Amino acid sequence: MKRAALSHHRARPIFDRVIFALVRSLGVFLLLSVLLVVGLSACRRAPEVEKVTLRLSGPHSVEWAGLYAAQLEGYYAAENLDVTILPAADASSSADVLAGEADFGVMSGGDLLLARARSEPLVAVFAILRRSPLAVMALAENGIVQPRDLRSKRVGIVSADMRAVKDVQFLSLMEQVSVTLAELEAAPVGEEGIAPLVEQRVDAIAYAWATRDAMAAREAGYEVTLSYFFDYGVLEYPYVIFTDASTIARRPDLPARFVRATLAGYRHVLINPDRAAELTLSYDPSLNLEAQQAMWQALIPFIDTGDAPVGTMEEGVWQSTQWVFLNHGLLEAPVALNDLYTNQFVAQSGN
Amino acid sequence: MKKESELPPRSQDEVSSVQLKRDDSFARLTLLVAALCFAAAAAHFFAAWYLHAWQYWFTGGLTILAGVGYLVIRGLLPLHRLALTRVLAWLIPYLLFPPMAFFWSNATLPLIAVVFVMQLFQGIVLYGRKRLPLILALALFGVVTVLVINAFPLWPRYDATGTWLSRLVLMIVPALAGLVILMAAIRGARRFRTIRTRLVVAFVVAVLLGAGVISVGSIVVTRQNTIDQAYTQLDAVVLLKEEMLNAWAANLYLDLDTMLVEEYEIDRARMLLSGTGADALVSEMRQSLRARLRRLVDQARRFDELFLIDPAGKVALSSDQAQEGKFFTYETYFQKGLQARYISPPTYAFSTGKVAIFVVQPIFDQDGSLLGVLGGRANMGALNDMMLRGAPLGQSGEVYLVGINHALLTELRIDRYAYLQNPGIDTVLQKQNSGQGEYEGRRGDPVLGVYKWLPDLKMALLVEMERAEVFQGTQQTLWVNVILAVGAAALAVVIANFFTQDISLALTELSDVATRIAGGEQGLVAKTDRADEIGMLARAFNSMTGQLRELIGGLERRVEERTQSLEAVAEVSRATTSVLDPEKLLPQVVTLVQEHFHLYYVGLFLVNENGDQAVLRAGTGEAGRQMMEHTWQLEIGGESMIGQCVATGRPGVRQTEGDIVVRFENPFLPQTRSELALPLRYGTQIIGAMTVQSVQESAFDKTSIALLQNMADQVAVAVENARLFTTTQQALARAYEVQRRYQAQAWEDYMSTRPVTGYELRANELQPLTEELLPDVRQMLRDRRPFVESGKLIVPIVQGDRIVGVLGFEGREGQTEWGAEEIALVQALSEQLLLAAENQRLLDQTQRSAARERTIGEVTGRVRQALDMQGVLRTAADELQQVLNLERVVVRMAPQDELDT
Repeated sequence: MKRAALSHHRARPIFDRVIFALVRSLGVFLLLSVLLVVGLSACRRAPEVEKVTLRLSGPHSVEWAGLYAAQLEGYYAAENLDVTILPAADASSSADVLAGEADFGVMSGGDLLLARARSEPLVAVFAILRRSPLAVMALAENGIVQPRDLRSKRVGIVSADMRAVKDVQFLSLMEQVSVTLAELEAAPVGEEGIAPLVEQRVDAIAYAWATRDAMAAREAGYEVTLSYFFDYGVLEYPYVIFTDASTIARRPDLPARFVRATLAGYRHVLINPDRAAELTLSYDPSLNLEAQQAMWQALIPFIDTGDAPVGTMEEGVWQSTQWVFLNHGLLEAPVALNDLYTNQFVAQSGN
Repeated sequence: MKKESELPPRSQDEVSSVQLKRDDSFARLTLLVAALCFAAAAAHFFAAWYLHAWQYWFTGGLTILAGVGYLVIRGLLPLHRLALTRVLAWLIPYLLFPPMAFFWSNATLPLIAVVFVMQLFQGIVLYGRKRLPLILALALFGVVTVLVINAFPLWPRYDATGTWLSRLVLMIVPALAGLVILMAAIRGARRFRTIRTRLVVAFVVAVLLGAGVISVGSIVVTRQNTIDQAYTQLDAVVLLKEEMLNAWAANLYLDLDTMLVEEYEIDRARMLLSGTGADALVSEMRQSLRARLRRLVDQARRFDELFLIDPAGKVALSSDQAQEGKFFTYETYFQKGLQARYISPPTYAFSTGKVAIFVVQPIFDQDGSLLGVLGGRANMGALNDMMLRGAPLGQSGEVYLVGINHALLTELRIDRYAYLQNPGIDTVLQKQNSGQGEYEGRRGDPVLGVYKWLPDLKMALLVEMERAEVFQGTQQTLWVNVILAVGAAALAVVIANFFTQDISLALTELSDVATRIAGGEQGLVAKTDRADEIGMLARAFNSMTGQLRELIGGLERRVEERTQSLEAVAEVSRATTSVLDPEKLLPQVVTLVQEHFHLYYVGLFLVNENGDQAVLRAGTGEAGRQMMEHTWQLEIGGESMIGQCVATGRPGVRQTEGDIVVRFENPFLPQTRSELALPLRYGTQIIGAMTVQSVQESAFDKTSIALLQNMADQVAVAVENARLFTTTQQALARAYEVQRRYQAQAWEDYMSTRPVTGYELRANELQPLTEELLPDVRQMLRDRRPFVESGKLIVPIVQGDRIVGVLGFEGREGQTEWGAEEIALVQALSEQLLLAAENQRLLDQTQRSAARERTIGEVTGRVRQALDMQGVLRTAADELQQVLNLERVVVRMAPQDELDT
């Protein structure tokens, strides 16, 4: 049978045989192409997802909505990252990062400056809030509309020795408006929030958050006035994402991918503000949706100041923070600001 | 004739094979598709050159391959390599379209649609609907291939929808497939049974095709023009708004320039910024300058706030008193403002809760020393009004500004958003350049947008219009075209129906006439009152049917004549084969041929014994008789027709045809006008020839020559048979005479050896007869017939024609007569008796011969037993003497010469 088939094959016209060979070649080509595609697709299989841990500097809150969006909306996944977002713990976030228990952490710019002064190799890569919401807050009825109005007023501070960072910043603010401590009555109230104010134990709080504290006061039915620290040259990044300098040196792609996805996450919740609170509740369902939504609206101007891409840091802010710390002895010597922070990852992320 | 439905079901292969073999339109279709492929490839190559997109070189190459493939199919069709053709036809779309996904992005849907439709269509054409599941599976496989390739791009792909040219090239792909299917559909329309239906369909298709092409062309052109106009309009608005923004910024600087112009104003500012001077004076200066700033703010309304900042960054003076005392030391606009004019990007101002733009510039005293920074917070309301006002962009047009982080800096006319994202914004913010495109707008509707990055203000200007509004006019054109096309198609149906009805009725009438004529009504004629092609057809039809009638009549006559001729040939053959005497046969042949074929003269020549002359052996009429008397003979190979005919074995004809007059020289046949010489062929031998002559001109045609030659061949056989019969008869007679003589001699010899030659049985006693013959016997021998008389019956025993004996009977007393049966019985008995006697004679003769042979053998044996010559001779002599009963035997051996003497 095979012999017959072969003889039949030999009997075909040469044109027919050439065409048959051509078609067979095309068939083989097609098959190889499909195999190539399948093979390439197998070769291009996504590498294993990289587990990353981020330690926050506070509890779950809508302040971190961009981080939640990056994880839950797939921006981290698109960068092949699976980010575990952990709320603040007993140990500081810098300790976790330095110990290798977290890849990234969140802390204030002031704390980072102090850590750097302690030779801890931490580098800020992303500023969650580009403006500090820290402000002197007073009830409207107290008539305090600017810091110099604090003269002869009872002002709630953190500690009596005025060595806390926020107290130092408040002192700097007073210096800017030429008001001395002697001209006012400083009352240590710790970090109790708005309670001392609404209970009228003080006329003003030296350090209040224009977002959560002001909202709490307003929810409690009080009109308040705010004097932002940054309006008087006392600037600080309250939340910066940082990582170990060795990570940047050793694996620059990791912070690059992390920052790119984080930026996309924050842009996502800026464009879809309603999602911010919803995503936050995915991490802490006990939070109040409406309160988180309101807080997000209040946070937006501090995240996007409009004049630079979200997450970008400016040297002037770091200079201001360092100036305050140097003036009041929290820092003995200036820190090399170039080593303290970098905008390269935000810049690489584009708009 | 069986109907198609009654035929046994054919296999799918056979059906497809028949389709492919019968229908050469398939071949033309493949050529057309190949040509389209090459044209499409040219478009690809043009796109590759025009767009500087290397991907199109490859897609063009694929299209060329497809064209070559269709040419190969065209070449395969005459070879009937059906399986190969099918595989190739199936492979081509598969090799053409899915690989394009390697090179194109945003082309998934068209490629999927084309692959699926083409594979489905080709599969049904090539394999039939019975294999639909397989075809569907293959088509889906093609779709999956496109998706797989699309999911794993191997290299940068070209956006197939990015430019008008790429969109056009992309449209060629489904257009190619659509054209193939349309051609097949038109080809399928030929299955309509009536011409009228075909004409109507053709009219409608032609109208729809024309209208469709015109409509599509006009729509494409209109759409492209509309898009171009829209982009031109949007570009103009962008230009306008940019100019307005530049003018606005220039005015802001101008306001700052005019704020501190006079020298005293600069002195006051210096005093204020440096803090020198008496407090009362400074306070007065501050109030005076603040009042001026407020006036400027209120008058020009381009600023919401104007301020003076000292070199340390402290707001020394502001039109908004609440801002005084603040520090902007580390603000970018302050630091920039210390150096030069600067306009800040839109920045959120917490003091107002709104986005603001800060415009600053340094101020110097008369000595050129830096005093501080003069600045203002721009009125964004003016900017907003600028964007909302005066843009001729219809109902859906929007002009807006977007900040770096997608924040909407100005209001939209229709909706309110804080942030906005769309592909246009993403592109302009990402690339910080200018451009245009069609993308999804804020509400999910497609929009046409033009965007421009404003580097000084660090914001993007966007102008958009909804696509639906842009194409509103085109939509109307489309609908008008559709309505016109439908109307034209309907009109085409009516007109086609009107015209085709007339044609159809005339053709139907003609068809009816043809059908009735075919049914036997041959006298019918079609109406010829029309002056058009159908009238011409009817006249041609009538002419044809007339010729057919004549042809049929002529044929019938010719068949009758031929039948008569064949009957004559048969009659001649029958008559000639029944006559075995050549002397009778030959005259009978010529007479019969002349009578049956109505000829003037027929003569028959036979070759003489020498083989050099053809001698006339029979001829009809007086002429024949006279020529026979003159021993008419013609030399074989001579100039005569008969001589040539016998020599060559081929018939020869001479006849007067019209103007060509042939002279016949035979004086006995003066009226001959046509003469035909036919060879008499017996096997390979020519035994003679027959001449047939007619008084008619052109009496012999090819058919009659063949017919007469056939008859001549049969005559030759009959003549030769007769001659052979005569020869055989003569040989038989000679053999019979020899036998008779031999038998007579044998009987005489035999009887001479018998002592008794007759016996008589009387009273059961057998007595030998004497040699003397009885008188009655003598009487019978004389008469040579049975003798019956007085109760006696004598019957001869006859051998051949010779009486070798007699049987005699005498009846009992009283019996005087012998019946015929008894005589016949006796005669039969006599024959048997003769036979028995002949056998006995032969037996005796044989026995004697055997005894002689035996004796010879015995003698020879004894002679051989002798040991010497003397013994031999003695034994021979003794034996011969004994056997032959001789008295003396002499045996002598001597030399030859002695014996001779």
